[in-house]
Amino acid sequence: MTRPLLDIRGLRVRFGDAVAVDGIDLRIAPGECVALVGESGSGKSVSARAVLGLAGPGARVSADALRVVDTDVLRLGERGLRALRGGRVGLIPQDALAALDPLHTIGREIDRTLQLHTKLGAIARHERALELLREVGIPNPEERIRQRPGQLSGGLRQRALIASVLAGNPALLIADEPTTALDARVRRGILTLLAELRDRGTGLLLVSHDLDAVRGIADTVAVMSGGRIVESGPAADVLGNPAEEYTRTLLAASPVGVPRHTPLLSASPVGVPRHTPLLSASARTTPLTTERHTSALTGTAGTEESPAPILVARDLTKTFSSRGFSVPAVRQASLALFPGQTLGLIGESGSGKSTLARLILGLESPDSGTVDLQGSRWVPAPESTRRPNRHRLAAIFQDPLSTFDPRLSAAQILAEAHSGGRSIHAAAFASEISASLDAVGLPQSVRSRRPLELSGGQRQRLSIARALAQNPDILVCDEPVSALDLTVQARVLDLLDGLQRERRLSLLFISHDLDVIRHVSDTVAVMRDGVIREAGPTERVFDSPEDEYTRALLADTAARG
Amino acid sequence: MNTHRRFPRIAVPAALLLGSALALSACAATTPGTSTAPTNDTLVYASGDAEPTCLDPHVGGNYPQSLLASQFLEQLVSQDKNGDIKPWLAKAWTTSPDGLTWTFTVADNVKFSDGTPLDAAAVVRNIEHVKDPETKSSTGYLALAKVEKATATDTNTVTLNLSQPDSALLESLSQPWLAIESPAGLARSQDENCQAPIGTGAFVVDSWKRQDSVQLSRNPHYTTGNGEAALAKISWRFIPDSATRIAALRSGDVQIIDNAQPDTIASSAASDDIKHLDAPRPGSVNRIEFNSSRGPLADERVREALVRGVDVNAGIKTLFFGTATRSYSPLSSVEKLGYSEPKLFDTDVAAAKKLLDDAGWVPGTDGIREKDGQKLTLAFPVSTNQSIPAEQSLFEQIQQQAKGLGIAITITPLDLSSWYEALGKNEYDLVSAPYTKVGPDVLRILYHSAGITPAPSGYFANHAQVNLPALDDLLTRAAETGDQTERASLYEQAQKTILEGYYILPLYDQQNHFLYSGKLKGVGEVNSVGNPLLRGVSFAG
Amino acid sequence: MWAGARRVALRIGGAILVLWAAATVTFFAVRLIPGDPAQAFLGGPGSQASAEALARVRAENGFDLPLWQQYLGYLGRLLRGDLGTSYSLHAPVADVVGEQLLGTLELALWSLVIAWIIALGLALWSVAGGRVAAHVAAGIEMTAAVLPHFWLGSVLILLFATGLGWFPAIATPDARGIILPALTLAIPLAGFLAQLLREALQEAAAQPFVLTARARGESRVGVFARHTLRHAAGPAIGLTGWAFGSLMSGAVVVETIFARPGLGRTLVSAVQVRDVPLVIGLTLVAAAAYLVVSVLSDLAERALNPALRVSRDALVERALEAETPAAPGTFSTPGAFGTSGTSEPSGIFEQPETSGTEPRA
Repeated sequence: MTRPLLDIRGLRVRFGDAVAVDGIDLRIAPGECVALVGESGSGKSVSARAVLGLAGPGARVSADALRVVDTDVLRLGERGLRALRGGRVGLIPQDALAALDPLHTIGREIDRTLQLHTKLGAIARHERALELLREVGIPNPEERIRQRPGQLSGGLRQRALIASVLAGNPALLIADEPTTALDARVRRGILTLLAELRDRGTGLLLVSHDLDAVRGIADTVAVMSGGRIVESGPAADVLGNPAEEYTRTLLAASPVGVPRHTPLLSASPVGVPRHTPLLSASARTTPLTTERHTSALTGTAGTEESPAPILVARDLTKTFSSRGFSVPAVRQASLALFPGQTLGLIGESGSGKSTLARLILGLESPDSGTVDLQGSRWVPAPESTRRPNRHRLAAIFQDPLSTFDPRLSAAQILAEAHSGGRSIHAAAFASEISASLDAVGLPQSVRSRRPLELSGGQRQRLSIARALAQNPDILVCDEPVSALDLTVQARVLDLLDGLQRERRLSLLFISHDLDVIRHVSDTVAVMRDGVIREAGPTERVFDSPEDEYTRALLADTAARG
Repeated sequence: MNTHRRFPRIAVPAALLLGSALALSACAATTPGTSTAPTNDTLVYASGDAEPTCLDPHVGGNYPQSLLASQFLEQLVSQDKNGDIKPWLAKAWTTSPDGLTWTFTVADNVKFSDGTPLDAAAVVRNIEHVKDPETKSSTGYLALAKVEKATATDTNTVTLNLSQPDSALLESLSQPWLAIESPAGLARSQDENCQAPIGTGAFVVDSWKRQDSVQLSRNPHYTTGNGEAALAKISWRFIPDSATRIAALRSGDVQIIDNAQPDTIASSAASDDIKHLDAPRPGSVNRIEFNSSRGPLADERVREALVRGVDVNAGIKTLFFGTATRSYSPLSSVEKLGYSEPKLFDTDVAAAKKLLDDAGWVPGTDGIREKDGQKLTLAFPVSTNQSIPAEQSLFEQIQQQAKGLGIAITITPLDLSSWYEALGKNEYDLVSAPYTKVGPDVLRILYHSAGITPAPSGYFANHAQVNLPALDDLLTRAAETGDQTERASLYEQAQKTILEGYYILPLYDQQNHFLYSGKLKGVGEVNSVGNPLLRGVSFAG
Repeated sequence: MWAGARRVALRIGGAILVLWAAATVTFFAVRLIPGDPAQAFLGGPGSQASAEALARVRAENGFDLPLWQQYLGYLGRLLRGDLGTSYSLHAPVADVVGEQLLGTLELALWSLVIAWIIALGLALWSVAGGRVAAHVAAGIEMTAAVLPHFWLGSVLILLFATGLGWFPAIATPDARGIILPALTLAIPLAGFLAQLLREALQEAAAQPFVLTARARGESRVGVFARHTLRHAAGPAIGLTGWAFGSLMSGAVVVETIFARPGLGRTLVSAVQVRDVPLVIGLTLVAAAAYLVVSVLSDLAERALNPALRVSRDALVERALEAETPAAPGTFSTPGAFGTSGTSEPSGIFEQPETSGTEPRA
């Protein structure tokens, strides 16, 4: 190939005694996109940053070769590195919200890069900044250039971040998890943009754990695990027909196309063997109306095949107002939860899905509408009447860490849950705690650990264990796996599936990830702007959506695959 | 442009902060510290006393006022080193045989600094001013208690009619609180006159910036001394912290300081850069008075035991670095009629204990003596304004020694107001309260039984609450007699009675030390109350 | 606009409440300690005032009325803006305060500036200098923060005035005369500020945007000047507002030691003679000055950090997305709620929390 933009051979990065990267080779040609995939701890981010000399404090970097364009990065001094960074190699960090200084305007960030790497005067820089914003697809750049990151939506923010990196005109771009925490449509836009840049000749090193994103634009894929590259090759080969076991596991963990109740990972720690679906999805559901404001309601009388709903929400409405300005968060939303079944609630940010969840949990009171729990009024109702039934609804969230008291150990957290909040004395509940840990597949050794000492997956399991301790009938899951690695996500989903069947839990599963929803839900409801646009059995909604918004949403998903 | 838009925001708070600080300092010349920088003919005096509320010593009447006023006001008479009264603004005087009429002849050709001539009318006006309740004079008022009327019998002759003979009148008139001010000045509002009283002194008051300084300048028409003063200006500053005062003296920022502490006096003795002026105040000595009206101290044996059971000499020597001399008299060493009896105060701990035993005070289990269920505890409120740290330490030593005798003394440091409260309520057994007055008549104020009755303000002077008709008689007669020999004898007997009754434990003179720069010459002249007069001071070389 | 006006009104109301409380507490505090206020009029306690004089003073000033009545009378005068006349100085309190205020303000401002300079220097040194420097700096900061003013002032005089002769021991009108008093107040404050600044700088330096800046080619100094400093300054400026109050109280000691005219010294003597109007007047002025500085530092903090400016849209947004902090961004399609595409720049802003994603290697 022509002179590679990036030539890494035998890269090693150590932090003290710990080896983060253990000798990897990588090459990127102009116009080529190489994806470095792996899970947390694989060393992919450290490798990418080592290219810029920013591996982190205390890092010791060594390599047989580490060249960018023609420059030997290892031999560069501070000045050389500064010229390299942004000028020849651009880093697009993950999460634009945190990666941009909230106190600076977008224009300032772009301008700074221009100052550092071009010799343009002030006016020329301003013009170029506007140009860049247009290039990355931000409408109304004259206005946006004056705004701060917080004033832009997630997608625009990411684009602005990219613009600030492009300003230095780098030949090589390193995108570190560029699509994390972005909604489906936004993700597509960003990936399209990156593909355009690649087509124009920029080299692209894409570091990601999102295999579907990678599939879209990578030419070559290198799979990293434990600091080493376990497999690499053309994207089609590695992703379509992986040679290595690890790669296969990774691919298997994706919920895309996996039917309901099929465990994602064969070695599911819950011990539930691979099942074929118990019932076909269509046989279980009852017909639904298809009016605009659809409700996922069934008749309250149950049949043998379709038991009565355990929770029914009717016409819930909630408006938030502050100082004369009001926003309807939820409008006339209705749904029903059935024992042993999962209702997937799809919506993008701002659709009101979280508010709806809170209303159902009874954490907020609606302006109008009702929720009935097994026939008796749940919302609105005075807390005193609800208290005996509170335990029947449990919830888990996206960021379990913030729901734990950081001082308490896992055992104490579970003790608190088992005692109904009255005690944290772990010894008194030793057997219950053991059982809880087993049920979620956590080893007994985590008893004495604090939440901060646990991994993301372990934390989510712990929060599930805590939720289960109160013996609920309904489990509300608000984006529970969005923040997890693919394999970890797979395990948690398998766990939830197993627990649901064991205990006949009714799950309200909220997510913006369509693949996950499709895999876990029996019925789905699509929400937008506080309104439930469409609801029905999963397969029906996904195969033949009736609402135009749903259609558009699914189109994005399909296009990406 | 983005980059420029950012600036006003950050800049504003920073600029505000910096700008105001710098701007303020630029106009600092008009705000604090209008003290003139020391030039060769400006003397800076740093006083540790509280700043007066009024510069006119007729109003109120305390020591800080006198220190200042003696630079620009003068009295009718003065006192020489031997304690004899000499003419000043009054050139001669006579007394009627019955002592009820005094005639003063005013000095010739003296003018106040505002040009008003000094004449009998002026003197009369002054006396009226002091006696006028509106003036709210206290010290001067008391001093003229026996004067009923003052008249100008002719241009230069003043006649005073007294209700009773007053052997202390001349001594009183020598005090700055009875200084003579210009009648034109007195005619102004009191507030105006308080700002800058007009007198015949070597200096005049230019301005007074509160909490900062009083500016004085030379009086070009000064005639009553040895010509004009050498100093062009005096900057009189108030510096309450003693460490700062001495530091300022050593660094040359000021040239004279008062209220010099014993340790700084001692450490300055070595060098020639700093000299020492010792001017004990007249009147009473510093003593501990025993409240004979209540408690254990009502018994003379207990008082004697306490006096003889403690040894203060060693303490005085070490704590005061040899700058204070032990006194065994009720009167200051500058009083020529002072009588002293050291023998009465010989330390004898065994004898003291025996006295206590005899008085019925038996040591209890904790070592403190008891009698009829009462413990021998004595309350000793100490005013931190009146007592310097060295003195407070001395009191603590006495407390320790008393404990050895079985007497528990409780020392309570108080601020001035609270201290006067405590005294007014008779909640004390021991107290140390200095009193400055020229002449032995102070004994009457301090030890005559009339002094037990509080004034309407709650104040009273006879803290020992001595109530002896014989002593009263001696003091009254002494106050009235015109015969100097008789006067001396009466006062001697009075002092004997006071000492032998063990009503007080005399310690030392009222300390009044000044430290001044070696660059000054002519320092040393003091008036009858121990104020240094700066009219003869100049910079050497 | 409305919201702004209401906030201002609330602030003013709060300020009035604080002032009233200050006046009330001071009144009762001074009157309830032993000591006759009538004495203050006549040259202080022990002035041996005559009966008539005292009686007249009492009658004129209503000292014989019950305490609560005196209080109400006093409050009434205060509401009319009449601060009264000082008992001991026989001058209108407003005049006395006006004369002395500038001196103390000047001292406080100089102290603030010097404290900031020292604190910045210390914080910078500890952040840039490596571990040893950080420990040494921390030690210096802690020691400085606990140094008492009366000790520090005397030591400074000893060292610099008497010893080296660089500065005068007592206040002079020029700049030299204010250095030592300002230093006495500044050093302990600098200790506090430096600690805060250092921690804030360290925290800011750990933020993701620092990586972005460095990846852009920014030098360490550039990152500091352009990013971390501004983030760290916010809390320090907030502390400054509080510090002003402590500076005013420290001024009492410093003004006495250095014989500087100012509110502190005046207050001490006023309390000693129980000069109630003067004490209250001084306290009120100090409280008012403190309130003003509070507001200013608040405004500065907001100007520095727009994150603190919460707008209505942000409130609504937060209400809607209560549980998904890491799903940022408002609406992927512009115009959903009429925000992104309109001419009015919206104030939607979320706190830059740590994203809920796993820390990636």
